[in-house]
Amino acid sequence: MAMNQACFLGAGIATHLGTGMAAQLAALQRAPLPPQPVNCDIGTIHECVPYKLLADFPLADITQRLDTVIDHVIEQALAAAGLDGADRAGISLFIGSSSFDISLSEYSYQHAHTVRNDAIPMEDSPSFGKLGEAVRQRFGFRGPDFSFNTACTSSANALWYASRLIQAGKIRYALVLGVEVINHITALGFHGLGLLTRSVMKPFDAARDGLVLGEAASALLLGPGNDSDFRLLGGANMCDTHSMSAANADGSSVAAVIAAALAEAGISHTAITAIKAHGTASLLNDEAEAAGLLRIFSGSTLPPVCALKPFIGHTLGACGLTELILFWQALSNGFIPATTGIGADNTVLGISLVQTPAVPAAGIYLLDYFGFGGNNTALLIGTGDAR
Amino acid sequence: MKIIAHGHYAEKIEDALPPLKELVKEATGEPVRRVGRFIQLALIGAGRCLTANPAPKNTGVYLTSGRGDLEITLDVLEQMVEHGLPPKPLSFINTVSNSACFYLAKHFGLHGRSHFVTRRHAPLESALQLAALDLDHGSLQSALVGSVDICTMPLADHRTRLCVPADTAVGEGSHWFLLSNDTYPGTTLATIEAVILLPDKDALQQWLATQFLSPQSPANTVLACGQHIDTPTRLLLQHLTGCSAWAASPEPPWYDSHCGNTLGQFLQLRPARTLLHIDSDPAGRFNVLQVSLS
Repeated sequence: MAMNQACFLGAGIATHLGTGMAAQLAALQRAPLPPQPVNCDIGTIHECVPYKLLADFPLADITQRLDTVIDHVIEQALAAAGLDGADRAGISLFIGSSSFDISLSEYSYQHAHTVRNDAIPMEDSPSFGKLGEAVRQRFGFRGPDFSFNTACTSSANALWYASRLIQAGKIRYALVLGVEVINHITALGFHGLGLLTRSVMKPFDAARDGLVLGEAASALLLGPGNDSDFRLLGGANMCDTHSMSAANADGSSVAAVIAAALAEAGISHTAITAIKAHGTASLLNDEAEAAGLLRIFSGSTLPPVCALKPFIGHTLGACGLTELILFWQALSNGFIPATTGIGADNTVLGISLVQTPAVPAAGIYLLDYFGFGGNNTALLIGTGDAR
Repeated sequence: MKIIAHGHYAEKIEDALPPLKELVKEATGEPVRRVGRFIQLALIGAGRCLTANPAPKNTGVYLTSGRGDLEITLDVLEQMVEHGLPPKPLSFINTVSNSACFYLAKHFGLHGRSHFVTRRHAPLESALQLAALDLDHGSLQSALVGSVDICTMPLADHRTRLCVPADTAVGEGSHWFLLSNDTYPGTTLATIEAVILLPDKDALQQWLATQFLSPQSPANTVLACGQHIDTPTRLLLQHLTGCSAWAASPEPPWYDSHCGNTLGQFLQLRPARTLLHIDSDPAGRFNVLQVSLS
């Protein structure tokens, strides 16, 4: 049965590297920079947390900042896709985020608390679907909408379902949005877990000592296109009950989700020509991911592996879509991003990261994502004629 | 998509939040420590659903909620702003709604996919749509879909957060459904014929016209309107469908998982062969759920 196409028609992106695709691509060809310290002041807490904030959206007006960056990346995606007004009304919206608009709830509570003794948290009718409702209203989207909250796999899962609902003929166009902006719960939560580094993230490196949080907003329009357009070729999501906060270090659960994605796509691991790792630079997760990849590629050559978090930080619920867009655009522009000096030694975990920008071979590309709550997702992308 | 089993918890909250520890133990067969009310409610509803029908290992978990784990998020915010305390590690991790999926998967031995997904004004419908896609696709044979919403004290503050009048009865609920695809060989309770979102009234009218081709259809069908439907729309829907209006009884208190309550009561009371549940949102879209008893 012929399936409908869910091609990548147009993208918008804002990260620590800049706004728009040109800024990202230029920065991905330079060495990643260390994070900046950001003051987290709430109540009597004054903590300095390393962060990779959005480059072009200063922390000035918190009440408008989230909407502004979301609108910006959606406009970029719609413009790049060239979709006209009539088609826009039929768009279905898929949001993936781990924090949605909690930054606004924090701000309003903190502000109200300074002027009223009876202020209560989240007076503003909290709801996970509220952000999606507001975005739909501003853009006039009337298709079904879905808000995913599966930690660091949120927008990867959103993309996976958007693509499959199009393929199944349930919807025609989908706008996938990944968004994560700074908020105190996330910043202080990760700080409290002792998972943050103050230097550049070093995935799969002997010197890895934690992650850097990052902000990102990214949007991708999916719909009918041409065989030469990139699209999702397969994917899988599985629940790993080994631990709430880390995949099984023996790699079994990581391998299982990659194998399930390959099975869904109907391809062999030998068709994979490059890998975008999750690469959080934490001790256990990198160990689990490396072990999982080695299980899948046991007996064959591991394709080039890159990690994008050293450039943009860990953008949590937004990383699924944001890193996919960066990887896809880098591939389309003829290179696999390199992290020179980071993850260079394959004797540490058995894998090494690309050290000088490599020219990608034609084929199919694997992207890994793992999140709190044992949520593991693997995606496969390529052009329609790549199988 | 077939419904194999269902399990529920629903309570109107008046003076205090009823304790849940014993109910969790009863539903899951063991005490579960260090979890908040949201996860407790999820375990109770899911446990009751799976008591007589254990789910296969590769069952997918689809959890939805209007507000998620309000208790933990409120606590973390209050601790930071009022007491100057950063989030405790476990509290922070549990602010991610997907944490509840982890506990569900672990306690019921499930290794399929797990998702927390929602839609404002139609949380259960959003989760059912994704489960239907996975089951129709054949990548999963069974799905455990649940809708959970908790209450927080004081109730006056809770009503403020829900944006409901001060005299509105509020409550909490956990409604779970074990689903399979159409190839399931065993006994089933019902079939989910449709779970769709229609963009406006015209689309709804067109869809209804295709559903009521037989003169017997309205007599065999009850119409249940969701909690966001206003009176003029309710009357219009009754006129358009010709179906008798039906509502869960007693009327459930206000919480976001109403649709689950209505579906659960329909499966239990069997007031007609088919349930047509329609809800709307402020944009004028309609979420439709059509279920027929086996």
